Amino acid sequence: MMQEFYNELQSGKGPVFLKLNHLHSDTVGKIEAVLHNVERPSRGRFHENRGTNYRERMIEMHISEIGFCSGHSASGVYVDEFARTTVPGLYAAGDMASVPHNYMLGAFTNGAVAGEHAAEFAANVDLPDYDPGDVAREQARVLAPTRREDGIPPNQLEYKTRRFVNDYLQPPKVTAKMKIGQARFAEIREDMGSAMVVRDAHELMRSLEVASILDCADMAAFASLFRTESRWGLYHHRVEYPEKNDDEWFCHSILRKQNGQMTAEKRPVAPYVVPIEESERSAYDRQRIRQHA
Amino acid sequence: MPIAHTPTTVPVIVDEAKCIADKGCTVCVDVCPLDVLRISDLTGKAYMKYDECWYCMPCETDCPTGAVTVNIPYLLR
Repeated sequence: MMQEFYNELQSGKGPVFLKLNHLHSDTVGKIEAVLHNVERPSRGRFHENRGTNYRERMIEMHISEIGFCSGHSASGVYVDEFARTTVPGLYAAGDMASVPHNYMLGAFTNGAVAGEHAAEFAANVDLPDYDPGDVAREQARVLAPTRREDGIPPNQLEYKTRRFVNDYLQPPKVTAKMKIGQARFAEIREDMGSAMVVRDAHELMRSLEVASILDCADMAAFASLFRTESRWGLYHHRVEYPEKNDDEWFCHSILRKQNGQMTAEKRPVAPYVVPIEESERSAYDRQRIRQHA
Repeated sequence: MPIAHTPTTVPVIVDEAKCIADKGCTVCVDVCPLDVLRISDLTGKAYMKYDECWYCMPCETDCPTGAVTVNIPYLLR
């Protein structure tokens, strides 16, 4: 639906509205209970402030609002149905794993599955030897921003990274823009390594988060450039490769760090745990609006 | 280089008359996923130290005395 929303805005026919005022007030109440309690807890208060009520009129929607809960995207650390990564004994759960994102119930369930299997694994394995040098190097990396007197605070590095993600990586994806984004991320990474400064434990936490955010930005650009097709409507619309190509790209794009460099490779999609009908496999494509009204 | 402080109206407001942080309560600080609330050394009451709020509201929902209010900030109104 994101592509259709985007088309509407780009065509100059926007804004796009959510229309519920033709429904019975009780029905609107049921929908509100989902939107205001399950989905975004402060949304009711937001509408109160604006003086807007679904019962009275259509409500303008932002393009980012239409992704309701139950999971979007499945990018992240590659895991199987037990939340196991490809590293034995290492588990990943929640939005950082390759599971549907953006909903708490899914994250809780995924976390429980990961925890149970990890506990089982840990019960049968002894702690291996490790190199104290590795620990010292990691400590030095993590604490470096605390040892500077002066420099760039993490919130500014984060803001700048996010701005380049928004301005250069957002779909429709253009190769030249993504490459500019990558060049700027490299500059930010240099600044982060040489000049980030933190003044307390909270800022230290944020400094670690910004390092992850920057890694994600870099990986998003790299993976987008690797996949020479378009897929998932607007989410991966590559302008230079507008067609979906199942023959070559019905697969995962796996990124690795090898000799300090990012690399990309394909990984076949594992057989479905729950079997699905052949007709369901094309359901996503069939629900798209192909023709303009 | 010096670091500036930009004024914003914080979204999380604590009613100090109701707040029992000075009696050892840390519920709002503990439930905040953004780690932005603190207990003031001066007043012994909870307050929002870092304006990185998501407006997710567990601080308000879980406060045992109803001392916490989450406001939608001006820029989002």
